[in-house]
Amino acid sequence: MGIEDDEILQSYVEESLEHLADIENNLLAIEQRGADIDVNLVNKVFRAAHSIKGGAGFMGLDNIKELAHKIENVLGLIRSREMMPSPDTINVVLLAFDKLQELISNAERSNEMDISEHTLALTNLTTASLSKEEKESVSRMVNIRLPDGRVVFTIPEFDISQATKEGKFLYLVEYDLIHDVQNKGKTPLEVLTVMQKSGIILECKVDISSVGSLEDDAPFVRLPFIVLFSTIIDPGIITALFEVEEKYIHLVTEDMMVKISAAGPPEAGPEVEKISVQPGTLETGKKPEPKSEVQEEGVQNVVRAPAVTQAETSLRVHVSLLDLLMTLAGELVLGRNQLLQTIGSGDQHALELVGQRIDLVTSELQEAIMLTRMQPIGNIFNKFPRVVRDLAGSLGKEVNLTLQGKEVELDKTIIEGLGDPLTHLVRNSVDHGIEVPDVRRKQGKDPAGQIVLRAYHEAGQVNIEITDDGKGLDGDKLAATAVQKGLITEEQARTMSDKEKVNLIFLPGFSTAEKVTDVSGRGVGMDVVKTNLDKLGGVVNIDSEPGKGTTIRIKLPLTLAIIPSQIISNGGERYAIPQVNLDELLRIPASQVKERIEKVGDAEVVRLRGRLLPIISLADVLGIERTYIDPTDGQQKPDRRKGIIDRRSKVSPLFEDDSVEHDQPGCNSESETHNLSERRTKTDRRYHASSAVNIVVVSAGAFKYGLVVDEFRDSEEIVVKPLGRHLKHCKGYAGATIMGDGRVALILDVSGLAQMAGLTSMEGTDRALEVAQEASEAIRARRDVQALLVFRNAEDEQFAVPLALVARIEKINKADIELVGGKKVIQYRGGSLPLYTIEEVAEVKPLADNKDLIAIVFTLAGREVGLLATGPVDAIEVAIDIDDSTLKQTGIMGSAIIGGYTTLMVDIFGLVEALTPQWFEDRKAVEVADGKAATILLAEDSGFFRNQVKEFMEAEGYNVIEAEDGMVAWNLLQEHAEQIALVVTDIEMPNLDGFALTKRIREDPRFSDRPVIALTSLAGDEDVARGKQVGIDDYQIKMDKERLLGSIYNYLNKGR
Amino acid sequence: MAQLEETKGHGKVVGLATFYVGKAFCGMDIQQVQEINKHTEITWVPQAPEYVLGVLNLRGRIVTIIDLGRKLGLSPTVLSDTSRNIIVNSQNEHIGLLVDRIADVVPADWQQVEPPPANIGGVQGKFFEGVFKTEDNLIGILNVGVVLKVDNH
Repeated sequence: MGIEDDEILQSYVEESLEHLADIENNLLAIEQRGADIDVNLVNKVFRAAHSIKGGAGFMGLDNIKELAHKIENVLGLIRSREMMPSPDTINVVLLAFDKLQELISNAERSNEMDISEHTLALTNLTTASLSKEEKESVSRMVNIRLPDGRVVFTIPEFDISQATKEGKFLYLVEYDLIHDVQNKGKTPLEVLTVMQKSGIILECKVDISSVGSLEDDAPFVRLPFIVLFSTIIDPGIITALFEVEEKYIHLVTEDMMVKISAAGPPEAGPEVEKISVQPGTLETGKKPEPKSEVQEEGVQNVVRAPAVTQAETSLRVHVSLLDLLMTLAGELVLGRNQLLQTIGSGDQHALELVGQRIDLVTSELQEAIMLTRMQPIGNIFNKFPRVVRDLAGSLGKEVNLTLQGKEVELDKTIIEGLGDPLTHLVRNSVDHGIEVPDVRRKQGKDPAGQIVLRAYHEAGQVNIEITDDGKGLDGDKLAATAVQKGLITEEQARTMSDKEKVNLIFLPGFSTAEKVTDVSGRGVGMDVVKTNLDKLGGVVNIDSEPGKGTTIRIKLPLTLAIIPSQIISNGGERYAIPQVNLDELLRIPASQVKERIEKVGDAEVVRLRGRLLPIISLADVLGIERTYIDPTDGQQKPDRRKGIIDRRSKVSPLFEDDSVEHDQPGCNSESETHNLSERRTKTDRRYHASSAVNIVVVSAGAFKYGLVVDEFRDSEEIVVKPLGRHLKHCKGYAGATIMGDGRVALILDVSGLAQMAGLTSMEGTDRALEVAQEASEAIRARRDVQALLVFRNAEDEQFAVPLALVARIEKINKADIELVGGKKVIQYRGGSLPLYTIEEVAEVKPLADNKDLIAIVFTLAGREVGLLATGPVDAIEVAIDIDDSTLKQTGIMGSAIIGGYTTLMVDIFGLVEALTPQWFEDRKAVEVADGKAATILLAEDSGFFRNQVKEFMEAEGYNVIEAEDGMVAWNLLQEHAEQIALVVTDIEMPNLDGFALTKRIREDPRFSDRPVIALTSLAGDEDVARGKQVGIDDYQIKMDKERLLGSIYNYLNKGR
Repeated sequence: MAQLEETKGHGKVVGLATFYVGKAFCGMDIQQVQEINKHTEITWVPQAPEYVLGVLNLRGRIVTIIDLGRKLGLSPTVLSDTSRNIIVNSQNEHIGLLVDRIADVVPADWQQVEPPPANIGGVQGKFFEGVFKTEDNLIGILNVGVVLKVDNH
C-alpha cells in the first residue's frame, strides 16, 4: 500500500473506531427500553454501522463491509419496529460489533478473518422476523448490471426490495475518483458521507476492471467508483445531489437486475434456519477465534471481555490546548532570549526577573503538556455495563451497575494500564460478590445486586471505588487458607485485624484458580491485580463485611511523569520519596530518642501517638554507612552505633569498641567519589551522640513503617526518569530524577525497601503487635494506665468510665424497661435495677433509639445501678491525658482523646448523686479530730486525679494537702507533721514513688502510725503484696469514691 | 554493533578511539562513541552491581556510568584529571564507560585485526573483539556488547 493509501486507511480506522466507541452503551440502552424503541438512538447506531460499511466498500475491506451490512439490516428492522430488541438479539449485535471492532483494528488483515459465525447469527435474526417469501428473498441473489451489461454488484434480493419500497429509487452512480473526487478537493469518504445524508448506500466499490491495462492504447482517464444508492429523491433532481455528469447516474431498473439461483451465495446456506441464536450457545458453545489466554478464572461461564484496549499511538488534542502550548513555547523562547541578554549584561536584578518569568512559563508549559495526556476515566468505565451485563446474564444473576465520576481525568498511561485490573475487579464482584437472586431474596436483599463504580478526586489523587452489596469476604476463612498455604503462620493470623485478613488475598500465591472458589470465591489472580496497580503507582485495599458487601478502593496518582516528592539526604546523597507514599515526617528530639525508639529483638520501633511503628534505617537497607549530621558544624559524621537507640544509651560498650564498623562490601570501592576521607575521619564518635533522629513515615499499601534518614530537605516536584538496565535489579529505586543543581537523585521505592529490609506487611504488623504487647506490659509496670470501659450514648458521642467501677455489663431490650414512679427500672435478678441515662444530668446527645441497649452496672452506696448505653463497648487500657476543664459538667468529669475520638469521662457518682441525692445522705459525718476536720495528705502526680480526689474528699469535709509527687509529699508531711492524720498516695510518681514514700513514713518514728492508703488504677497482686510489705494499709481504686471514702473513714476512726 | 560486523566483513578501515584502562590499552570503533566527557558529578547508587560507579545527568538523561577497570576485572578506576566517561549508545540507552585516560584515534584495517588471545593485560579475552597491532602498541578492541551485558547474579 502506498503512503497515501495508508493515511486514508488510518483515518478510516480511526474514524470507525470512534463510531464504535459509544455503540455498546447505546445498544444496552436500546435493550433496556425494550419495545419502547427510541428511534433516535437506533438511528445513531445504524448510522455508525452505515458509515463503517460505506468506507469499507471503498477501501476494499469486504469482510468489514459485509458484517456492517448485516448489522445494519438488523438495526433497520429494529428501527422499523419489525423486530424487538430482546436481550438475545442485542447480544448477537453486540458480539457482531465486537468482531467488527476487531476487524477494523486489524483492517489490513480483516479480509482473511472468519466472520461466518456472526453473519450467520445476524442473518438468522433478520430472517426470523420475516415472512416466508421475504426469507427466501434474503437468500436469492441479484446481479446489478451497468447499462453496458457488466455486472458490478451481487446483492440479496431482499436488500433491493427493502431499498426500493416506500417509493424509494435505486441508483447506480459512477463516480470518477480522479475528476469528481480528487480534482474537486474531496475525499471519497466525504462523498459517501454526503450521500448518506440523503439516502442509503447499499454497495460501493472501486471498479478497477474497467480501467483497462497500461498496454491499452486509449489512455485511461477515469477511475470509476461505483455506488449503489437508494433514496427518495426523484430522478429529475438527482443530478444536483451527486455532482457527476448525468450519464453516469443510472436509475436501476428491472432489466438491470438479473436474478441468480439461491444456492449461490455462500453466507446464506440452507442451514441458516437451524442455528439458534441463543446467546448462551454463542458464547460458550463455539469459539472459533482463539481467545486470549486470560481465562485463568477457571469459571466455566466466562464471557469474553471486550478486546483489551490497545495502547493508542495517536492522540486527539483540542486545538485550543495546542494554541496554548504554542503561546507558551513562544514565551519560553522569549524568556531564553531575555536570559541570554541579561547574562551578558550581568544585571543581577534583571536576572532574577527573567528567572521568575522562565519559572512561570515552565510550570504553565508543564501543566499544559500534562493536560494533553489527560483522558476521562469514562473511557474505561464505559465498557463495564457490557461486561457486567454479559457476565451477570451468563451466571443467572441480576446486577445493576452504577457509574459515577466518568469525567474524572487521568494520565493516558494510567488509563491504559487500569483497564485490565479494573475489569478483573468488576468481574470478580459480579462473579463472586453478588449472589444469585434466590439467595439474595432469602437474605432479604434486593434480588438485583448493586455494583457501584465510582471515581473521584481526593488530595491530589484519583480514587476509584468498586462497591458491591454481595456476600462480602470472610476474613477468617481467608486467613485459614493463607495459613494452610503456608503464606502466614497461625500466630500471624491470630494477631491480624479483620481488615488485614481481607487484604490477604493480595498476597502473591494466595489464589490459584482451582482453590479459590471453594474458599470464599474472591481472589482470582488478585495479586496480579495488585502488581499491575503497583506499577501505576496505585494503592489498593479492601473493606468487606460478610453478608453486606465489599468495597475495593484504589488510589492512583494523576500522572506518572511528574510527581511531588520529599527530598531527603542520607550519606551525602539526596533521595526522593514520592509524596504518595509519604505519611508524615517525624523528628525525634535528642532528648526523646531513648524514650520513643525501642528495640525488640533485633527490630527497632518508634512510638507514634500510642502506636508502634517498625523503623528501618535507610543506610542499613542500602548497605551504606550510617551517618548523621553534626548539629554544631553541619558536617556529616559517621555513626558507629549499632542501633539508633544506642545514641542515648547511657552505657554502651559498643562505643568503645572500634572493631564494630559498618563497612559493607562495595562501600570501599566508591570511596573516591564520596569524600569518604571525611566520613572516615576518626572524630570523637560520641561527641554528637545527641543528634535528633529523622524519620520519614511512609506507607506501602496498607502497611506503614518509618525510614530513618540523615536529613529532611525540601519537597519538590520531580520528573521521573528511568534507570538504566544495569540498575534494574535494584529493588529499592523507582527511578531517578535530576535536581536543580543538575545532579541525579534516586527515587526510593518504599515497598521495595521494605522488602529488602525483610519487612513485609505481615511481619511488620506481627512484630509491631508483639512489640505493642510487650510495651504495654512495660508501660503497665511503669506508668499509670487507665483501664477504661468505652461506650456510646448517642451513636456519635463516645464515653468512658473507669473499668474498675463497673460491676458487669448487661444486654437489655428496650421494651423491657419499665417506668415506675418517674424512674426507669428493669426487672433484674428478682429485683429492680434503677436505670440512668447520661443525658438526664449532662448536656449530651440523647441515647440512640436502639432496640438493643446495654446497661452498665455499677455498685454505688451499696446498691446496684445501671447506666443505659449503646455499643460498641470496648475495654481498653490507655495512658491518657484527661482534660478536666473544657468539657466538664455535672456527671462528666472531663474528656480525653481515645482512639481518635473525643471521649467524655462519665462521673458516675456525680451522675447518680444528682439524680438520687437521698442515697448519699446516710453517709457518716466528717471525722473530726479535736473539733477540726481531719487533714489528709494526698500525693498524686496526675493533676486530673488529684483534683478529682481532692474534690470529693473536701466535699466530705476533710482538709486536703496536695503533693504532686512523693518527694513533695514527704517534705509536706514533715512540715505539717502534726496536722496530717492520714496519707493517700498514688503508686507511680516521679522522684519518689508511693512505695518509697510509704517506706520512709514507716521508717520514721514520727509518722509510722499514720495510715497510708494507696491509690492505683490497676491493682495487680504483685503490687498489693509489695505494698503490704512496705507498709501500705489499704489499696483503693482511684475513681472509686465510695470505697475510698469508706476506707478513709475506717482508718481515721480506728487507726492502723 | 551491526555497523561493526559490517565493517569487519569488508575489511574497511575504521577509526579506533583508544584509551587506557589501568595499564591496558583498549580501543573501540569511534562510530560507537556518542561523546566523551569529563563529568564528575556522579551520584552513587547503593546496591548497584560493583562495576556500576553511579549515575550521571547527561543533558536530562540518566546515564549509568560503568567503571571499566572494575568491569574488566582490573583495579577500580581512580577519578583523576585524566579520567573520562566514554558515552556509548547501546540498546537505545546511553551508558558511560569510565576510563583512566583517553588517547588518539587510530585508523585500523579490519583485515589486520587478529582474534583476541585468552588474556590481554590481565583482561579476559571475551571482552575483546580482536587485537590490532600498531608500530609500538597493541590495541585490544573492546566488544561493547559483552562489556555492557547485564550480569544476572
